[in-house]
Order: sequence, then C-alpha cells, then structure tokens
Amino acid sequence: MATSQYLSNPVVTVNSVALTGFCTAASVIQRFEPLDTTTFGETDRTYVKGLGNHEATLTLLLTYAATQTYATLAPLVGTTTTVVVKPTSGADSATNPGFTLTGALLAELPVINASLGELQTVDVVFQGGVYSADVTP
Amino acid sequence: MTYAVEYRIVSDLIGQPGSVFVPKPGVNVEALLQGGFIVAVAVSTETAPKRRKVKPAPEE
Repeated sequence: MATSQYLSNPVVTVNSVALTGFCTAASVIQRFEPLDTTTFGETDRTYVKGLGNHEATLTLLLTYAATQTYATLAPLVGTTTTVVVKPTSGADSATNPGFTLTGALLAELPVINASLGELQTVDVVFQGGVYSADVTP
Repeated sequence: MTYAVEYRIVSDLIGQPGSVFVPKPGVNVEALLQGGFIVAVAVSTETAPKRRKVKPAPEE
C-alpha cells in the first residue's frame, strides 16, 4: 500500500543557518537535463541523462531583524552556498535523508514583498550545485 | 607572535554562541560574517613555553 509522510517539522538550513523557524515550504528537486537520442525510424522520443541541474526552492517569512532571514540571504545573492532540507530534525539516516545542494547559486532575492494584512514571505530558488542525499549520521 | 583566524558563533541559528565555528565545505563564510552570525577572532598560534621542572629541595 502506498504511503505518504506528513511533514510538519522539516529542517531547513541555508549556509549553515537554521531557517526552519522562518520556512513555510521547501522543495528540493534532483534533476538531470534530458538529451534527445531519438533517431530516424523511431516513433517515440528517447533520452539519456545530461548534466545535473538541481534546484531547491524555499518559501520564507522575510524579516529584516539582525541575524534572521534577510541577514542570511542578502550576502548570498550572486554567490554559491549549501542548502540542506531534511524531513525531520533527527540525525541523517535512510529514513531521514539530508537532501543537500552544495555549491548552489542564489541568483536573485526578492528584497520586499509586501501585502496589506499579510506576513511578508518570499520564494527563493537555489540553482545548481552538487546534489546528495546524506544518510550517514 | 603569529596569529590564525578562528570563527566564533554569535547567533544561535548557527550553533552555541561563543563556541568555535568550523565551516563545512561549501559554506560561504564571508556571508556569515557580513550577516553577523559569526565573528573572526585572531588567536595566537604560539604555544606557551613549558614550565621547568624544579626538583623539591631534599628534606633535612
């Protein structure tokens, strides 16, 4: 029977800073660019794996207070860093892998996203880097 | 005197404030310094001179 895990307490770390308490959504995508190998005479497209092009997207409450989200992200714009997202706060394991992008680029940062009567959130995307799923405690 | 740079944690979002921060590979230390999460501290690399052993005077 297929099961799905309800995630209420994932751990999110950006550049060693624990942003779990500011994060409302997180996704890490392991992706490889597909290279088309379809040739004459074939009726279906076929592909082989190309370069890795992984991505992590975080939705964060944006605060300008000292050592919080803005202070974490602003110095990273245009640079590479490490992003880790884990299902729970436990140690890395096969059932709690630490999905990691090492050397991922933060190309842009929405510095303000104000709406009347709402907490300010921003979506940030870390692109590229080396993907790993750490299972060693 | 020779010095080495060591990083100390300021924010509890990084770890225990006051303890030494050892950056993992891929971590952007400059960004952490700029954001005020850690501070750089110069520490002396020279070891303190060994104390000379002084034999106690024989009891009379």
